Amino acid sequence: MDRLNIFDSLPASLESLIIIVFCLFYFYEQISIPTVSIIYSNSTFWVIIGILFYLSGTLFSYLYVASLPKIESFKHWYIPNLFNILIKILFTIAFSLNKDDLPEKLTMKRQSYI
Amino acid sequence: MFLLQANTQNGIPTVIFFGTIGMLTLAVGLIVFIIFHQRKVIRYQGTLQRMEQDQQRMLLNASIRLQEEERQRLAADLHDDAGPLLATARLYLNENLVNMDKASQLQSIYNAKQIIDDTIQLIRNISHSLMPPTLKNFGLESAVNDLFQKISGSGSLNASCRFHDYKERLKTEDELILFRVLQELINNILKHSNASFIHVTQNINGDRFFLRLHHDGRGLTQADFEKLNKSPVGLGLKNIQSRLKLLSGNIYFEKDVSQTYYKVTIELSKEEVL
Repeated sequence: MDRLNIFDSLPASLESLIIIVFCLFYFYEQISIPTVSIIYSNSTFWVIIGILFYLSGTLFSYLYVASLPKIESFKHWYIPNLFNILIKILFTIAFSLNKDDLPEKLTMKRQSYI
Repeated sequence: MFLLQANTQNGIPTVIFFGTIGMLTLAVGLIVFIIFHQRKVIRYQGTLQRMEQDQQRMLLNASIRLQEEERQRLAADLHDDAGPLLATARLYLNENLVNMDKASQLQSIYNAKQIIDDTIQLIRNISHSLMPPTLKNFGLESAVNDLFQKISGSGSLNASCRFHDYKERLKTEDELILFRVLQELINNILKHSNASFIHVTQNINGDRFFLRLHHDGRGLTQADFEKLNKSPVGLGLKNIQSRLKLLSGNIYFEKDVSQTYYKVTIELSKEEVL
């Protein structure tokens, strides 16, 4: 029962690292593929930096939270919460960007069924 | 473990505090770098595009100016040469002719006929300068041969050509473009290079069609050509470039390996012209 209450620090951190690597790969692609539009006019960019900020900010908290006493770890839980707010803000920016900027496959095509 | 026990002023373990700050700094740095890098690339692409547009505008200007010059030349030829000749012929054939004696009538008609013959010859020359009949009827090889015979006939310069792989004629409009390019190059050689010979060779290598021109006078290298092409002067060279652009061809100016001759190579895609 006690095991269920333990935060799975290592898998969560590894997962964060893997996703960070994918984010870096996205940026690498953006650099290598020549484009005419500025990167921050694209909503995917805001989603990716939201994920990147959240995972970079919470990586160390997740990594060391299991090593801290339980009461102590609750005290530091506001750090992931702060980054949670940040990621939501960045996602809001992404969704509020013009729909035309979204890649075609992400936009729903209107079809007439009549 | 020591790092975990050591706390900052807010009570956060040092390792979490600095780790989080470090990761955030890296993420922010990465994003700033990418944004600046991309802006730089876009700016560079913009500059390239602007340069290309300038070049296109210059070529268009050159071809329009050349067209206007050609029209002016034609207008001058017709107005200054054909006009007065026809007016003189009209004078000989006025109404008074019927009142003249037979000998004067014959003399007037003979003079008018002479003048009309001259006018016909003049108009034929104008028409030939617009579209050489040899080129139209017998192709590029014959037209170049014809041109070179006329040049060699003057005695000051020896011009020759050899077409190695020209069994199949190019499209007529492409032949005309190539002929005009050659004419312009030869004109430049005659005007500026002080050469004693010009030799043109043609051959096909794989899917490329080559026309090479050698001469022993003062010539241009590729760097000179590009410099002149970008400057407002050098109308003829710009015209060559815009004509070759129509054929998706390239032109290279170079000094021969032996450093004695200048070589101009015109390279076209065989599929484009045949």
